[in-house]
This record gives sequence, C-alpha cells and structure tokens, in this order.
Amino acid sequence: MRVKKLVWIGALSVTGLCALVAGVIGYLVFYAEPPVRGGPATMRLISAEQYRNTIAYVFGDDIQVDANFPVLQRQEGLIALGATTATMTPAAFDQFDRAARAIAGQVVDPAHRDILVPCRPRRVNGADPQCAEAFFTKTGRLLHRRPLDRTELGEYVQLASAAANDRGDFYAGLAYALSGMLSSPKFLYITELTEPDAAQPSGVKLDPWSQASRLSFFLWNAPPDEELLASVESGEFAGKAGRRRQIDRMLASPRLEQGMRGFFSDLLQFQEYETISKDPVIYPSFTFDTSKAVHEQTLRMIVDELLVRRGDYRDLFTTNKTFVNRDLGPIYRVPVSAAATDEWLPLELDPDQSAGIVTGLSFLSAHSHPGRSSPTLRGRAIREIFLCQRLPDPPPTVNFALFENLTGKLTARDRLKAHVTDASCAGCHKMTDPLGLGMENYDGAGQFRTEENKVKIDTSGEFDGKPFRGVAEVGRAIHDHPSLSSCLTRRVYAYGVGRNPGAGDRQWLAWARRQFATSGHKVPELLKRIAASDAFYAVAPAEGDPGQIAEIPERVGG
Amino acid sequence: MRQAVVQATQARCERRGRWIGVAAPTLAVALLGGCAAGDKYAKGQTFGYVLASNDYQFYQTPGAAQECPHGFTPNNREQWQAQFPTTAEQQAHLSRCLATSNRGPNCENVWAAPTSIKDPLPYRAVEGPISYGMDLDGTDGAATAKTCRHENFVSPTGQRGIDNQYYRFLGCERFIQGGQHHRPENARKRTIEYQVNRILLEVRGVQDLANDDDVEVVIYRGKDPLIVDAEERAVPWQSQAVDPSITPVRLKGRIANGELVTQPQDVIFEDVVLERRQLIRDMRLHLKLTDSAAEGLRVGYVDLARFWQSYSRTAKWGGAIYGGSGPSAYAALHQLADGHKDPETGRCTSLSSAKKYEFVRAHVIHAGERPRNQGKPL
Repeated sequence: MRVKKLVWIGALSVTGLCALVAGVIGYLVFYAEPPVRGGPATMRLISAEQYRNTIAYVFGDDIQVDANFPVLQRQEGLIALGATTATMTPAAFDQFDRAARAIAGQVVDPAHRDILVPCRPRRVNGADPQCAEAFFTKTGRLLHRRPLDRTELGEYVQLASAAANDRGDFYAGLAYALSGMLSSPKFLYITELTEPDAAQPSGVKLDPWSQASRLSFFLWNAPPDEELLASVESGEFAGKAGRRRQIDRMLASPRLEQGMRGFFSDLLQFQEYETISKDPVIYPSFTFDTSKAVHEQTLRMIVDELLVRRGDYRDLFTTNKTFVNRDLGPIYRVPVSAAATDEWLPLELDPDQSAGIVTGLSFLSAHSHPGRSSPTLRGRAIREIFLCQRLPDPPPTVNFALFENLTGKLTARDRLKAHVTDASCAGCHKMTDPLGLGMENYDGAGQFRTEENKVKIDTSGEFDGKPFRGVAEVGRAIHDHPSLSSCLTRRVYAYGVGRNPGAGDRQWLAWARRQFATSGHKVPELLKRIAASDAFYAVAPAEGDPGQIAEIPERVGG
Repeated sequence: MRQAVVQATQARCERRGRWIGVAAPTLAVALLGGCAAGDKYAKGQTFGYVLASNDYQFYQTPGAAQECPHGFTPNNREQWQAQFPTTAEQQAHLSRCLATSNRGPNCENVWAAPTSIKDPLPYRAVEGPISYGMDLDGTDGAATAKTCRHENFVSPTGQRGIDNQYYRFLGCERFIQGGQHHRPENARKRTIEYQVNRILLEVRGVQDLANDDDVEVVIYRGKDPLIVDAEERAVPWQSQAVDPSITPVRLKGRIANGELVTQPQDVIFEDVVLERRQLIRDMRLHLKLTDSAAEGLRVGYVDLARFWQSYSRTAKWGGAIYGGSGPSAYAALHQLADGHKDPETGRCTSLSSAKKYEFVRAHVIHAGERPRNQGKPL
C-alpha cells in the first residue's frame, strides 16, 4: 500500500515536473524574447518626409519646405536601409543648403519671429548673444535630437552674433546661424552613438538620445518631441517602465499615422513611382492629377484599416473599402460629391472586384505599362513587396520580339503564353504571371473591365498551390499566404533598426511573427512589440560580428 | 430602387423650392409646377454630361478662297482710309475726332452710332455654297410669314437647305479666318478656362437611350473646374457640382436612333468673346448619344439686338484690325437676318446659327446632395 502510494507520488511529481519544464520551455519559445546581438549603430541620411516632419514639428506647419531632396537607393526592399549608406553629393548638399536658407528666413521673418524666437533682442540692429543662446538652446536640442554641448552652443551663438553685427540685424544673424545648423551633418544625418555597457553581449549600447531617436523615427517618422527628450533627460526613459510609458504615449498619438504613412510609402515603393504617366489616348481618365492622388488613396486605405479600424494586416488584401476624390472619380465612374481635390470620401467597391491595396490605383497603375496592364510586373511586385521573395531581372539575352508580335493575341494571357514556352523565361514567369493574370480585370490605369479587345478575360489561375478565379480570390490567396505576416514583420523590424536582419535575428523574427499572429495581426501591436523589445535597441560593433553576415533572401524562380 | 429615385427627386424638388422660393416667388410657381404634379421624369434613368468643347461652326477652305473670293471684311482702319483717302484728310480727321472709329459727321463713334454714316467699302459676307448647320425653317430660302429671304447653304455632306446666316455674316472677318480662335484646341481651352462654359446637362426620364419619345433635358451651370487629360480633353465620368445660384433651363425632348433632339425654346447662354449673354431663339439641341459622350449641334436663331451689343463692344477694341467696321457690319447684320420676322416692320430680328457642342458623361451633383449611388460604379 505504501509502495503504491510512493509510486503515485513519484508519478505525479514527474508529471508535474514535466509540465513545469514544458511550461518554461513553452514560455521561453513563445513569450520570452530571444536575445539579439544587434548590428552596428547607424548613420542615416534624413529622408524628405523626415525632414518635412521635423521642420513642421519644430517650427510649425506653415513653414514651407521647398526643395528636391536626393533620391535614395533602395536596399532589401526599403529606402530606409539605403539611407544608412547614402552619401552627400554636392548636388544633394546644394538642395539641403537652399532649403535651410529658405527655412531660416521664414523662421525669423516678422510673421514668425515673435512665436519662434523665445526672447526679444535688446537691440535688433546688432548682436544679442543671450537671446541667441536661448534660441539655439531650445531649437538646437530639437534639431540635433539631443542637447547641444557648451562648445556647440557657443559656436552657434558666436556665428549668429558675428553675422548680426556684420549685417546690423539681430534676426539676419540668427537666420545665418540657423541655416548653418540646418545644413550640419548632426541634423542631416540621424547619427546613433554608443556607450560602453558591460551588461550587453556586445559590450556596448546605444546612448539614450540615440535610442529615443530610433524609437521616434520608427513610430512617427519624425524626431523625438519635447516630452520624449525630457524623459531621456530625467532618466525615466532608461528604465523599462518609463520607456513603455513613452511607447504607449507615442502609439496613442495622432502622429502615429505619419509614421505609418512613412513606413508604407517606403514599402510600397512610392518614391520610384512618384509621377506615374499613362498614354492619354488609351487612358484618358488617368490624368496628371490622378497620378498625384493614387498614393494618397492607398495611404488612406492603410490608415483606415490598420489604425482607425484596428484591423488585421492581412485584411488589407481583401477589404473593399477605399477612398476617392474628384480626380479619381472618373477611374471608378462614380459620382464624388467633394468640393475640392483634397476632399476624400469613402468608397465601397464590389467585394468581388476588390483585393484591397493590390487593387488600389497606386499598385495597379505603377505595376503596369503606360499603355497596357502587366501581369508580370504585378505578380512580381506582389511576391517581392509583400512576400519578401526576390525574383531575378530578365536575362540580357531575352528576345522581346516574341511579345511584340501581337497578331491574334487579344488578351494578356495570349501574349504571355510565349513566356511559358520559352525555357529561359518560364522559370520566373511561372511565378509572376498567373498572379498578375488573376488581376487582369483591371487595366493599366486601374479601371475595371471584363473584356480585353472584346474577348472575355480569363482570371483563373493558381498561386503557390492555391487555385483562384478573379481578383478577390487573388486577394484571399495573398491574405492566407504563410509568408505574408513574416515578411511584414521582417520589413518593419528592418525599417526600425536600419539594417537588413541577419542570421542572428532569425529566432527573434520568428518570435515576433508569432506575437504578431497572436495579436490578430494588428500592426500597432507589432510596432509596440518591436519598440519595447531589447532587440530594437541592440547594437554591436560591425567588425567580426556574425550577425552582420547577410542573410540570403528567400529566392524563388530561376 | 424606384422608390429611392422618387424620394431623391422629391428631395430635389424641395431643395429647389427653398432657394427659388427665396429668390423669386413667382418664378418658383412655374418651375415647381412639375414637382407639385409629380415628376414623371423621375421614373426613368438620368444621364449627366458636362460640356467639353464648344464652338461656332465655320466652314473654311485654304486661304478662304471658296467662302471669301473677294477678300476679307474691311476693318475699321481700311474703311477710315477709304473715307479719308489723302494724308491731309486723315490728319485733319484725327485732329478733329481723335480716333479712326469716330467717323460720324459729328465725330460719332461708328460702333455706338452705326447708322451715323455709310461705310465706303462693302461688307464681305460669305459667298461660298457650303456650311455646317441644319435646315431650321424648311424653306428653300424664300421669305415666309416668319422668315426673311436668304440663301441656303449645302452641308459638307451634301444636305441641302442649311440655314446658317451667322456664319454668312462672320465668316469673312479676319479673326475668324486668319486667327487661331476657332482651332479645336483653342475651343477646348476656352471651354476649360471660362466658368460660363461649365454647362451641365441632365437627360431625365430615359427609358431607352436609343429611342424615347419623351425625355426632359435640364441645363445647369457647373461650378467645378473641368478635369482634363494631358491634351486638355475633358475626362468622362467626372463629377460636376451644380451652381445653385443659376436658374436651370428645362427642355422637352426625345431620343430617336440614339440622337437627342429638344423642342425649340428661347434660351439665354453666357459665353465669352462674341456671346456674353446671348439669346438663342428657338434653340434646339441635336446630340448623338454614346456610352461616354454626347456630340452634335446647338442650333437656333441668334437675337440681333443682344448680338450687336456684344459684337460692337468686342469689335470696338479688336475691330481696327481683326473685325469689321460698325456701319457696314450693322447694315449687313440686318440685311442677312433670316428669322423671327417682326410683323410690324417686316424685318427679321435674328440670324440662323449652328454651334458645335461636345459633352462627356459626368455625374451631376446637386447642392447638398450626397449621390445615392456614390460608391457603386455605374
């Protein structure tokens, strides 16, 4: 009897221990954040939007920023990564310099000086170092994203004073020194600095100002605001609770929309398709003003679905809710009771004709030719942008004559048959064309159609083993694709940390993707998870860092 | 669906009643008659259009050889030189009357007082046989109780009996022949630039867009800019808001073989250049309707009195070179008039005309209205 009891107790103890171990393992695998060594601290050239957002925050919306900023190179699907290796060419600096002078002139003009300069100079016809110091202490902290040290501050005050005395105008001197500040590398490059930290695996960590900047540009696409800088200054931000409080505050801010717009504009390659042009004879409804409106339409869809409705990211590919202004009305042939071009109204499309943002006009028109649709470009864009797959460019020996002979080839499906029959093309086009052919109910301008050259369009196909018929089912297939959420997780993380995730990030990314799925694929939750993670702030010296060995991207096709 | 249409129409009637009621109670009674009795045109479909281009129809040959074999209409300066042939006479006239257009016996301005003298050189009206337009009076040009004797044209496609005395009057003026005024791209440009050309049409009560014996055509003024493509052609399916401050014009019409024809009605049109506020008498629209457009003619008789007001003002500054001369133009205008014979004087008071209209399909948005089908492609 006693033996039996002991056996029972032993069995229960083993079971309990196993359950505990399983629980701990489960927690570690599912909930505990895997450690990440991190990449090198970055030095990113400020983007046009970040520049505008900064000026708007520091000086106000009415300060005009009129400049053509340099186009940055896209790396691994993101301009944000290209910004980390961008160099300052003379032409680019010329643009920054012109913008700086124009902005500085506006800041001190009579309409703004009383608001933006925190003191009145004792005399306006010469220098007032004390007032200049007050101005640069306040403004420099916001523009440099950290307080100026005594040397920096002294230099700006001296510059402003010398120029004021030289020109006999306090405000002219202030503008002169301010334009210098706006042209300085410390403003134009978002530079991360590190400090020793024995607790970190790499032995270094980002200093708190750099952490705050990384967080702020990630969530708001803008520099840290007064409250975040104050939190760093007080030391609150260094603690986990203080940082979480700041993250929650920033996620609850209306400025989150600006951050989401920044990320999705980058992801969707809007910079490359800033002005889409279409043949006016073939697509008379697609005007210059249409091309300016299509990006805004997509951004409004995204903000509405992800922020306003707090929806599932994957629903961006199945929603039929969009927006329309006067310029887009003709494309959809719908009445738009908007008084002005910048007035947008909600529009619900036929659910059978909609696949969310891939049937948004920016996607359809950008990934098409000027005079016709392109199933190949559309299919490739879906795989590369949303699934993080990489397809090679066409081989240099490709014989385009095969596709230029259009005799008897009335639909895109007829024309693209050559791709399948030519061995050098087939490998890739089998990956791209079926997806794009499923979207052929939309022409090159994004207008719905059921026929091409009076032949009914066949929109059936298969996407990675899943059959579909029509664009709505294409959207559903993208929605259900296993790579969709992992790709977004990877892109958002890369966008935030400013580097392409390496082998050392794999476990962390898998963890983050699971957390994303658990949250119901809510993008704000993903942002929060990343922003609050240790991995987001982790840095390590570049040399000899195994984490910096570039990961070979998922590669499909030939 | 039908109930929704009726409700929308009733709401529109009520709105119309509100603003007309305030502005002009007596007019409101007339315009609201249809609403009070039930809007029978609400039962069918409504098709909206916005004016994309408009221009008078002037048939032209290279160098104006066919239509103006004796040259262009003499301008004011040429008439002045003919009236005062020597340098001494010209200098004396200018010293006394200050301007070449002040050629009356007592220095009257010949645009303000066109009957004060007779121009020495004849007015050059079109002599060619061909013109665009339509047969408006059904005559061979002989005088009737309502029309005056005139010479009919033949259309470029050979149709006889074409009435277009407006063309006959203006067709040999330099600004018509030599300038860029009537090139299609300029006609489009004027339509885009000038808000008075934002003419919106609604064809209401349509049961069948190919054939329908009874439809209503409402002409509105739009208040939105025209959405155009890179070649400045109006984009179909755009939305255009109605300007509620302008009283709409309602016409009866029918559709036969895809052509909309309205019943004659006097209508005032605003325009630029020669047609500030022109009364077009017995105006009719003849428009071929397609899926995305409506193209054809606006025909009718241009009222002489109103036309002279615009023409004389315009020609006063442009007439020295590009236009005609007051006295001869005024005389020619009355001589060429072919419509609306005054029973007392026996003289005609209007000129037959044809203007080309090009519309594109549009969503006509009424004040305060949220379109019932917004969000659903038509």
